[in-house]
Amino acid sequence: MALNIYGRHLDSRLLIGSALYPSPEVMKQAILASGSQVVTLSLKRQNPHEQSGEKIWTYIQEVVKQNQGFLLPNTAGCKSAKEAVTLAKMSRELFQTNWIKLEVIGDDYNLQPDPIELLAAAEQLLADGFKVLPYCTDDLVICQRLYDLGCQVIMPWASPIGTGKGLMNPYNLASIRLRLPDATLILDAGIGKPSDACLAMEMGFDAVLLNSAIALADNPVLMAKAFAQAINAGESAYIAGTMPERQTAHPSTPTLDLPFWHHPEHS
Amino acid sequence: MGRLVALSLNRQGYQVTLFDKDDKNGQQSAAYAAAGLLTPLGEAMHCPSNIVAMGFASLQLWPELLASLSGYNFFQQTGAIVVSHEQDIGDYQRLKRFLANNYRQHQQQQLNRQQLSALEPELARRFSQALFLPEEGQIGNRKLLLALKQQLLAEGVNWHCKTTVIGIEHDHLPKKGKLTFKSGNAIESTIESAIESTQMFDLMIDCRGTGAMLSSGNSQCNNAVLKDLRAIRGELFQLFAPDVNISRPVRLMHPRYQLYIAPKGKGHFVVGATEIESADTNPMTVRSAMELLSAAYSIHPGFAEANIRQNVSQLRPAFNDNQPKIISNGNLIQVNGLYRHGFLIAPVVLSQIQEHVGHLLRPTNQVRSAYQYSHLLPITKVATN
Repeated sequence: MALNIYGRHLDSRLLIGSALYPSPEVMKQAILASGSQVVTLSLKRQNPHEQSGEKIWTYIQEVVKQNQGFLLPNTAGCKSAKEAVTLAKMSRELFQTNWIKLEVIGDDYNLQPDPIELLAAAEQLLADGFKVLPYCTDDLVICQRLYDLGCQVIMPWASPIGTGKGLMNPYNLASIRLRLPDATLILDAGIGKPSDACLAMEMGFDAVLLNSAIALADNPVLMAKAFAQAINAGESAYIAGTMPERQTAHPSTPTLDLPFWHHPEHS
Repeated sequence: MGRLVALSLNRQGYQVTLFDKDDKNGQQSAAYAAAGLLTPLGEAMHCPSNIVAMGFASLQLWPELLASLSGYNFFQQTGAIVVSHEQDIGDYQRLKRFLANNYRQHQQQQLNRQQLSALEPELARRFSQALFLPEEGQIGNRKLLLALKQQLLAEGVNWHCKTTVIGIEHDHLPKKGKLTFKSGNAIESTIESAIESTQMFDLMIDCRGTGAMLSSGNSQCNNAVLKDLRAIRGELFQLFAPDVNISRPVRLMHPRYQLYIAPKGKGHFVVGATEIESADTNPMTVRSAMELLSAAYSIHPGFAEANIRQNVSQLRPAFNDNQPKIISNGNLIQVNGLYRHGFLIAPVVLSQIQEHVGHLLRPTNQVRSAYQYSHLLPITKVATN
């Protein structure tokens, strides 16, 4: 089933970052292999005032077009609402898009989002017509507030950016899913293995956004395929409905033909 | 690369003219803003295996090449050290695993604190373990630029410095190609007023790095391959730190960059380098400065009192696959995309150019069926229109 974000239908539920690859060519092959239709792009360090990163931006745009997708600029590296809003507006001019992945970092050590500044930036950007995809922690109240502001998409972390630790707090993530049934939830950051992504999808997340887990794999292209398969598997499992857990064993085949001394109570 | 090629071909008896937008000290070149590391294993996780192989081949070739330059004496092959802070230990383990799996034939030694102390005593105060790569080395990139300058002048190479090439018209061999250039001042803002000249050559070798990007858009150049060329910004510091005693290049694992400290003797160190997908030519940013200097300080507290002798930002040329290319098109050879591996692979690139020039201009002398390093760096042949 297609993913719907802000009215846009996407066939792939994998959103992918464009940093840290061994080369642009490897990045291209990985993106194509992943089937991802949304590729995030960080502008902060590329002197966007003078469009100094134009060459690589154009390259990524051409790659993502091959998957019938689009570029999603982000505000990575911003530490205040003001900074993030300025960069978002610059991105809108550069890429002719009002989509923005909103990141406002509050702590340099674990790159944890600053919830106060994030809410302030989201409010301003939504009022300015942006389609905001906010990156936040797995705090239910922050997610609720962002949703109430008008963010149709909420992107809680699995664990800190680039750690590859996977879903550190499944309880929190399950709570967010349960309490915000109508929000589009994209698990963002901290994913290490395809099984992490699969687990998130089994829990009912709508999509997964990741970068390092693919870019830093020994074989990024193969890993991109692995993630695409894992996300499809998780999504199918969620739709199929997983069986309930039980405390006791239930044999899946009849045991009437076993001699009585093979029954558990005689063994 | 251009100066090395000019000197080598001149020595082989060709009549060489060198056009250089820089002055003779070469301070605007990517080679100037480098560290001269010859560390193929240190680079291995972030580059294709042929670059690593070219790096090892070049380590064998550099001594003879350098010995031919009078007054040059800085070639070091005493190994390199890789260290990591606790929070980046995952990256360190990944490098170890990668090298063990892919480059088992090259020496790699895991050191404990005591072993590290025996090699680099002042590093062992901060790091309880390190990876020692005994085959790695370094040269003095700036010393080499100066030595090449002396040698080019001594050997009488016709050298047009502060001269910018603005057009290349190539043709089939044995026809001549036309080079258009402006001399007098290499500063772009004043080049409009400089005198434009043309000259015909049997063969033109374009080693301009990112400088070739502008004129490759020029229809006169007529070569679509350079459309894939991009600039990557790199920033580094030159520090004078007499309190720091580190004798080997040190690589610090970092989530985003390949950070290194290259000791250049007598208390001088190069600390680099950022790697930003940007053609920005502005001076170093505060953030880069903080990242590089804090990395240096985190390796050795003696860097706190170091003098900052220079901060440099420069653009490195790279193709989308980050592979160097030698593109042959009639009487034009384009050498570009050496990325962050210029010194690492220069002797192999030079060898390929020399063989190819010989093949084009002195075909009767060519006895080898394939050039020596074609398996590592094939010549890309483009048909001339």
